[in-house]
Amino acid sequence: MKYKDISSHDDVIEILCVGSIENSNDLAFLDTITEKNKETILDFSGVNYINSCGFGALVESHLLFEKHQLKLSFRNIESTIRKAIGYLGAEELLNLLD
Amino acid sequence: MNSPNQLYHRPDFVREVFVFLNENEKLIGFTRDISRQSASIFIKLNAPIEDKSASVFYDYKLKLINEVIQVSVKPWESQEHFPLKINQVELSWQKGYDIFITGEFLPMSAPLSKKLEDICPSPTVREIPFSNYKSSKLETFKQELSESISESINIEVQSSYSNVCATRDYIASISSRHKFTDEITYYIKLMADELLMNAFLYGTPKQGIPTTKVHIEISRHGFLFEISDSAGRPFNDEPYRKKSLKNNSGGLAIINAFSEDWEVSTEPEVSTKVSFFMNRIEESHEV
Repeated sequence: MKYKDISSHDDVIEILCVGSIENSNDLAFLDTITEKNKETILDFSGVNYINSCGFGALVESHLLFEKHQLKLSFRNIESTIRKAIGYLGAEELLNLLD
Repeated sequence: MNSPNQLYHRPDFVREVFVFLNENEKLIGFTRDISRQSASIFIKLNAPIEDKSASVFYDYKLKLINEVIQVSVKPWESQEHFPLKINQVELSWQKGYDIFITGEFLPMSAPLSKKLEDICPSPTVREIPFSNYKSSKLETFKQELSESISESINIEVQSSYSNVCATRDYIASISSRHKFTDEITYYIKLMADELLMNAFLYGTPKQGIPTTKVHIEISRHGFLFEISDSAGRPFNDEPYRKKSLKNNSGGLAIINAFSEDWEVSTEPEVSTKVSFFMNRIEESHEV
């Protein structure tokens, strides 16, 4: 996965993600986000595939952010991927914006 | 705070490990998969492929790993080094210059073995005697296939990480070509990905080259997928057959959630075969 178009404004850091999420390394760039009082939004409009390790990486990132009192949200998730997240029971855990 | 999902929230799910190549070389990696028998490790380099100087540097690192017969793995929460016999080293081009290593732990002293058990306290399903569940639904589906016009495809590849990605993408393209919906194609790809990865990680025979065989049959009724590894390790699929994913764990829960039905058959020391099928008409998935 690649990430691009990082924009930071007001209380939000928005990151456009492109490609597939297939292991924990794919979201490792989130480790560098340490700014408190800001919400990080991952825009998944360019993400076309997430496998089981990728779903795990989403949940792990969410838990890591929560542990450090940071907020991580996801938006523009492709409908089939969104359904899969629902079937896996992770919908109620993750902050999905739409 | 919401309750963490049991499927992924396992405290031992991701471990940071140090891979010691020799006295002077140490690389930091991550593993999602460490059991008493084996481990697979991603070494995160994340170098841009366009950067030629980085390319030379990381090619050197890869060459170094290939030249080393043994590595020691030290999970971050441990003081111990566990000797690993490398089964495979791959440069993961898809992810830039990441290195992917898979291997089995070498025989070790009783105290050291106990320490590894402390790190991996819960027995994995691979350590439980296998149970061969037979799916009557799958039998019916095969019968329907035999009575209708269908296309059969056989794939045999050397088990490797890059072949997992290439093969699952090819399988998804077959599903699309046969006009399965985008949603069913996505689930087929997801399940094929999981099973190909499992065959790669756990299907290494004691001797010989690890190979993965895939058999696919497509008809107007649906999509049959069968995958066989070349190891035939004891395997118990029962824990993954619980109705609720929220009380389940492991990637095979995905097969249980998205397939119409699935089964496992093991021929010890020869191969383990996992089969699933999908109906062409979408049905609701009860979780």
